[in-house]
Amino acid sequence: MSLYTVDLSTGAASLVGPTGVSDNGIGLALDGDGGLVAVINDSLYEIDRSSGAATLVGNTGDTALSSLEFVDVLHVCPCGGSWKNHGQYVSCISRAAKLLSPGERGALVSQAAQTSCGR
Amino acid sequence: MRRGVLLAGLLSLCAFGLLAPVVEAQSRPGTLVAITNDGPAAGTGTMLSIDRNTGASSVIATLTAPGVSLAFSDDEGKLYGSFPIRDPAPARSQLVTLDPVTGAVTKNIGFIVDAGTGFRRIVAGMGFAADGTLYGVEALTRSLVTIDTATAEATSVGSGLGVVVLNYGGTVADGIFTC
Repeated sequence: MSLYTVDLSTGAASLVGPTGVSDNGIGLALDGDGGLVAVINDSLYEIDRSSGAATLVGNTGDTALSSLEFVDVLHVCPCGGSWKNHGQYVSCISRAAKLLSPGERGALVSQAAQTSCGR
Repeated sequence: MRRGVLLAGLLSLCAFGLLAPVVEAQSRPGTLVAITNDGPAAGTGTMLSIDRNTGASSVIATLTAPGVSLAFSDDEGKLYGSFPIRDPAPARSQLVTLDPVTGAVTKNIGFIVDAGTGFRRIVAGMGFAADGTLYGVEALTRSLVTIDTATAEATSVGSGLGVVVLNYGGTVADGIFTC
């Protein structure tokens, strides 16, 4: 399996390089830090953008993965959204933060409560 | 001409059509979400969260259809999904929005069709570019397309990826198209 870039103007693909993983590729996404990651068969890999090389992160435990995407909680609940009040904004963050780990969840909801969003 | 804005993972002789917009590195609160395609026999899929540090997965929800592709719009704060519809034949793709917390379909936008001819399109991978445009890899024409998120109409970009790809008998197999 290899990594390619796609020209948005022409639709043409250009080879970056081989990932070094022989199995079928399934999903590709940017993580919260802008790193490129992929699920390939049943495992998560980091992908080097310049070479295409894949580095194993770990096994997901699922063999039927078909797509990967990063969901940004703050974009699910934008501060500038049409909130009726501050409570509605915090409620949205609290709900979306269920996607995060317990530690991250508490910190984000606490931060949201201290913002002026929706006020 | 814009180059290198999207990355597509392609098999050595085969392609998996998932695209990711390249943005500046910045830590953001969120999670990696994956979907599964359990195959036509099962007729279902699963939405999972993936731990970025370990790869371990946790089930978010069981989907009522097998999933093929996800794309999150930062501009809209919405999670879009492409689902293969095989019955009735011929196979086609359906564009929906999903609740990322529950996995529920929040809006069925419609079948993805060519903006000019109305012909069916099979989208094996999707991703939003920095300007908010939704791009997809289309398996029948083996080309890059833009997808209107309001109408599900697809418009071809150029004349093809330049990589010979094969779509399995008119169906999308686990979001992969191969050559």
